[in-house]
Amino acid sequence: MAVKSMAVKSAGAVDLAAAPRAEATGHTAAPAFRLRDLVLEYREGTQVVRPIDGVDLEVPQGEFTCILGPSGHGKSTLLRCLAGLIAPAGGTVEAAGEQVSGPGADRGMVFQQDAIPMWLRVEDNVAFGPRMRGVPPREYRERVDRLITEVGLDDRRRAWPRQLSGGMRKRVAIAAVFANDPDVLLMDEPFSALDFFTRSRLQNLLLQLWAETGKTICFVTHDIDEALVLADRIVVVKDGGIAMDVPVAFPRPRGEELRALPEAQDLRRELLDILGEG
Amino acid sequence: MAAPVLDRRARRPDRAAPGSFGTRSRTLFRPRRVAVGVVVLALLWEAVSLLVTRGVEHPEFVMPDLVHVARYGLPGLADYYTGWLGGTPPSAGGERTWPMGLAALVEHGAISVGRILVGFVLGLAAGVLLGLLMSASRAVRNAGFGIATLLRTLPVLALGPLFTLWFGATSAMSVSFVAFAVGLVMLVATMTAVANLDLDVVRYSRSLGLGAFAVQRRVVLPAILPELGGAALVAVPLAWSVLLASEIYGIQEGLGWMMGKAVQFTLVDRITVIAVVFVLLTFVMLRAVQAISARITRWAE
Repeated sequence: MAVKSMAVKSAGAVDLAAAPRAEATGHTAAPAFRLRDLVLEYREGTQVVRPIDGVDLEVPQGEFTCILGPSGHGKSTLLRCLAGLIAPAGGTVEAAGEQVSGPGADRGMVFQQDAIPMWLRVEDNVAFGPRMRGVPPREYRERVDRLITEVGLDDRRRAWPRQLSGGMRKRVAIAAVFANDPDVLLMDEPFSALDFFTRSRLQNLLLQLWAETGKTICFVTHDIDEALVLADRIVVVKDGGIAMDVPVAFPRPRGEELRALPEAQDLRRELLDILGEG
Repeated sequence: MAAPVLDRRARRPDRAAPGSFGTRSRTLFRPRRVAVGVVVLALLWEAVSLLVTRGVEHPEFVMPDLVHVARYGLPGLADYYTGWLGGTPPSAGGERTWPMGLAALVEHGAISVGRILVGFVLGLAAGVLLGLLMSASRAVRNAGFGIATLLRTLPVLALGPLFTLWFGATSAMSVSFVAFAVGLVMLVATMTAVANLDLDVVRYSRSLGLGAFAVQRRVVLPAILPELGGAALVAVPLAWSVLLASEIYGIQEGLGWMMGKAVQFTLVDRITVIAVVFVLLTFVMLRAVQAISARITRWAE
């Protein structure tokens, strides 16, 4: 299935032609991801299920892309394929111009559920990636310290994850992924289990770290408002294909005032229509 | 007026409520309860002893009372003392005394403890290592899990004669038999724990750039430690049972050997003393394993 890039018109008054962040930040290298006729499938008994069937997609470097879609329509599967955790049944996946053949430190992932090592204290968790890859401490120590401070866990450095709240553990996961200095962050509904206020705080934290580092972020969510707050671009994955691909050019920071913007309301309505169809 | 506290545990902020995140079941140890248990058991023993030996000509060969056990059982163990710790054992013309009986217990207890420690550590290491290796590949895991589960359901003690035939009546036989029994428990526990492991933990580590070996060593192994701690606690009493069986099969030293000799002559008082020592040693080892496990997995409490 071909990408319906820009084919779906969005809110009229929004400057959808605004330059994406990747161009604004001067990235000219190969795209962070290039998917060509991607097919993903798995067996369910005797049946072969294709959650993703013939997807083409390019994600420029430095872009914050939200992959939006209803539950069970393949968005998390697509993300895991980008991470190299699932091999394609057909088509190709390239990351920064290289064929993806498995997971790698260039593509860090944050999961919906707690996936951080519970047996490591906060500071060891944040330093886990570079330490395990044999990076000399002098090369990551400062970055780890800065990230712990930025995510507001300075006074919980020596705490075990079980002693933290769900939001704090998510902050540890985000800091740990940034500390590993990947090119791309893949985030699979990381805030879906959190309450509204914690989620808002973490969204702001993520945007702040993104702005500082210029990393490419692919963020899976089923929450339209979350996508509108975070994304440079929203890709709607539905029925195994891309149902909509639209840039989001609302000015940042996007707070509560975003809800009042008629253009945002139009785009929100349009996304709701797409997600609700069928 | 303060609101009534419905859950007593809610008064202790350091103690998690039942079922809350990060808690795990622990074998409870309450010294007072243990002391009460010991007293109740002793009273029960006395009561049953009185009942079953009423009218019996030689009650000491059936179920002697505890005074008889203390008076004759412990000093009688001196017969198995070799003089290893000094003093003159009865076999060299000495007398059956409490100190000589204690010396026999220490001498043969040390040998048994040595065997069980070596066997336990070897079995634990081999079981966990093999479990991790077998879990690394789905095909091997599926094949191995069936075999391990089948072996686990076998009465391990029934394999004792085989080990005697293979290794002879030696310490190597005893150690290998204990290692086999413990290894089997740990193998099944390791494979089960790996199968139940949240795959996102592994995926997360791989996305940080960890290779297959590093994932096994740095992620899978620590993640399953709480389950392994529980399995090790199950393996302790099994290890002691197996040790006893192995020593009874003809080895010339150790607590089990003493037990075997006492059984030959129906010396119930001596058997009782040795059995109590077995229980005590099992209890001490359980506490030690529990303490080590709690220390290693303190992050999970």
